[in-house]
Amino acid sequence: MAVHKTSRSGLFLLELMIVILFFAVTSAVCVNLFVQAHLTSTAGGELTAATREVQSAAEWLKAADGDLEKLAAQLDAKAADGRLDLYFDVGWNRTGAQDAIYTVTVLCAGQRMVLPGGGEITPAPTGREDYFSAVVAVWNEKGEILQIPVEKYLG
Amino acid sequence: MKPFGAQKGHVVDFLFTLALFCVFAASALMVVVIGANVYRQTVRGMDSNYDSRTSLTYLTEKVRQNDAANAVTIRSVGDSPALVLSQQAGERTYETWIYVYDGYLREVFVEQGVQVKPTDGQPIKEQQSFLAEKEGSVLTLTATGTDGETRRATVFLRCGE
Repeated sequence: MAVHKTSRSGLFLLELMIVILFFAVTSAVCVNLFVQAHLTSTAGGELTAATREVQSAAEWLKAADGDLEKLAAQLDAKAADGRLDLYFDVGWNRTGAQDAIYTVTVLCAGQRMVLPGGGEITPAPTGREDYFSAVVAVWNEKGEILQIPVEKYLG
Repeated sequence: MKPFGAQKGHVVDFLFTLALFCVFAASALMVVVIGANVYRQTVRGMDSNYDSRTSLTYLTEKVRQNDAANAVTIRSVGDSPALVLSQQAGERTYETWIYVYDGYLREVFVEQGVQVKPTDGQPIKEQQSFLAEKEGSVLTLTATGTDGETRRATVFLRCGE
């Protein structure tokens, strides 16, 4: 009788361990997919907000005829050396440089900017006096999220 | 009669198996809970993106379609601010009124001079509030979605004020 009980228990244990092994493999795959889904969703939200802010900055830049000083006055920011930075917190609200998670940078043609991730932004000069050209980019500590070229005929 | 040690061994076997089963059940539950959380966050993110994109993109495109001299004005319908886009068709001028009333972004197309009532507009999308501000040739659109988040978009009116 005792032998019979041991055999049933051992068999159940073996079955359970096989099930757990299978479960462990599938759950590892599932958790990996969950993490990927979360990261993709976060990146999607980030890109949506980044697009909105970059477009707004580009529209302001066009309204200011590419004049960074004028743009800085309108957006309550500082411009220097053909570059203007707007700082945003995690909720995409304007903040100071110290608390910034995201930065929207307006970079005029002919300037160069190195990004934290190792990339760089170098808007090419147009070579025309009546043509304004710049790049508006949004980036965080990992690197560039998005950049768009902005051009306007000033004649 | 079974020896005492053998009997104890069986109890431990049973307890170990039971404990293992409990661990399995707890792990299964945990994976389901993690999955549900991720799904909830993803859906929330998608809703937020939809809210963020749709209304502002719609408004921005509407403004760009009607970007003509003096074609974009800000008026009000009832207590709500309204974006009014004018367009000429033959000898007549028509207006598109976009505003928020009763939790919906609404739009109505009327001939110039027709009095617009808040209930006239066709509901487009659920929206808490909407505000349009014009500063020179820059139009700032502020929309608060159903999630309570306020988002802003700026449009440069190429045809001037």
